Amino acid sequence: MGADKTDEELMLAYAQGDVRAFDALYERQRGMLYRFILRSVSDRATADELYQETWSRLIASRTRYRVEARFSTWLLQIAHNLIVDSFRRARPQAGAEETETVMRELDAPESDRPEQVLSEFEQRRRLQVALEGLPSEQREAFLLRVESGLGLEEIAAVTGAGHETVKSRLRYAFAKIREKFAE
Amino acid sequence: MTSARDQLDREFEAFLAEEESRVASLYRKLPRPEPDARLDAAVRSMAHRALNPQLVAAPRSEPRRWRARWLPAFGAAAGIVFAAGIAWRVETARRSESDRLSAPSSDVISVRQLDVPPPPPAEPPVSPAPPPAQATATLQATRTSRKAENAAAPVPAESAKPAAAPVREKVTAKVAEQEEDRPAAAAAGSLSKTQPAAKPAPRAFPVQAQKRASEMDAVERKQIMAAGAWQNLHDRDTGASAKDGARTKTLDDKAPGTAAASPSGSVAGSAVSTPALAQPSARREAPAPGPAVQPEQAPSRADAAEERVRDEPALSSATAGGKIMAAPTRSSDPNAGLYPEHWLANIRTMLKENRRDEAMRSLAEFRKIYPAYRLPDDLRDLK
Repeated sequence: MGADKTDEELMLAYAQGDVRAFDALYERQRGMLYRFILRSVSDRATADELYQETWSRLIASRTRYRVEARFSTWLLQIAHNLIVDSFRRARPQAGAEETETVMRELDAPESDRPEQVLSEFEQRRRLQVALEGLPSEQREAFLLRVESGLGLEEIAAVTGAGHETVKSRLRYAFAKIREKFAE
Repeated sequence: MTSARDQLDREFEAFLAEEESRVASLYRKLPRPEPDARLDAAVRSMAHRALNPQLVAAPRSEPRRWRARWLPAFGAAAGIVFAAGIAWRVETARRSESDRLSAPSSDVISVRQLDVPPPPPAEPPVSPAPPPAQATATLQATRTSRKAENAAAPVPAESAKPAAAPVREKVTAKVAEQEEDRPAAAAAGSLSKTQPAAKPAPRAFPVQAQKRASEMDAVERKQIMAAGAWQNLHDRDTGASAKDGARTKTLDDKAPGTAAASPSGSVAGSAVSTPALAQPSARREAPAPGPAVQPEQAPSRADAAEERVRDEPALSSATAGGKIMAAPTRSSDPNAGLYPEHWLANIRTMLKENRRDEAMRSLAEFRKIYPAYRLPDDLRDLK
């Protein structure tokens, strides 16, 4: 059911009491949301908790849902807020110093050595390491772009940051990941 | 440097334009974890429960409702059991107290003969001869009490011992309250009746001694009376009577109507009351066997009669807890009938009143009667 309906229509149907609409909607979003959360927090238990809490908040606010943006944007916005709260509880947020360090690394001359041809496994491992090493804002922007397929405006809506800020975070994230492959 | 930055910008623009960049394609090759079934079930359950709370929440609320219904009942039942337990304990304590208080309240020993028919009238007991000076009055008083005993419990003296005869006795004694209530004058009156020509009325027992005696535990009294009274009665009947021998008959003639004059007014039914029992219980704490009376200190006939009546050791006993054993008080000293402490207090009073000779005599008498008593320092070295 609901294969021909958009996410927003399914959400509205669930808000009206259609349980099967929620099942269809959940089936579409579960993987994307879970990976976004898991790669944002890098901790399975925390990811599970935040994932369940995200859906719980969505269910609780179902009657207030209005189609003003994509459903995934709203869903990821809820998840983003929970992730930020989790970071605040867990450790201090990355400050200006960390950002400056990344900038210096980006400005440093790249290695003159030719890129080694790495196995695909090694490249995935490096990507994983690079993602984990990114500041949380950059990583989240990158994931929203790559994993959720959101554009700059949507990422800005989810994260509450400005358009240029989101673009800058994405650029830094992209540059660092690329550098990892160049090592 | 510039070319590298330009290359980065180009790749980034392609990344933003959702063109297939190297980084994006590599990311899609990463493992794609998904929530496990438990997590899916939890989320779906939440969603369904949000729409139909009663369907999903019902099973959970059932035990809660059961608990809510039964907890007050359990609490009330526990409270009732607790209160009943307390009430039972209080009632038991009160009943035992009332039993103790409502027991036959006479200072008599009730002897109930169950199996043995009354024996023929007691033959004149044979008792060893007492000192001549004492004999007449002593036996007069003794006969008074013995008649009362025989009237109430016509069992031979020997058969009074439980082990000697198949007689089952029930001995109940309750003396404390009676002693409190009985005026000292009654005892004095009864004594004066038995010995009309005697010296002035017997001393009223000190109030403190009476009070102390009345505080004696009833159980202890029962034990004392059960053990001591029978033993003394028996001893008196066998030993003293044997000494008296043939003198008994003449003494009987000298004391007509002593049974009527005896304090047998306290005898009720099968109860036995002896003059000695009418004495304050402090006197009863004197043990039966004691040092013999010195012949030279033998009192006059009248004194002997008084002493005999007073010293009737029907209820001799030893004080509990290893206290000083009260000695028999066959003494000419008027303080001999007192507790040792009171006696010593009187001796001190004599000393204060400059009656030193009298105090010394009394102290010497005290030492004879209570040889084991540890004198206080002020009297120990008194010379």
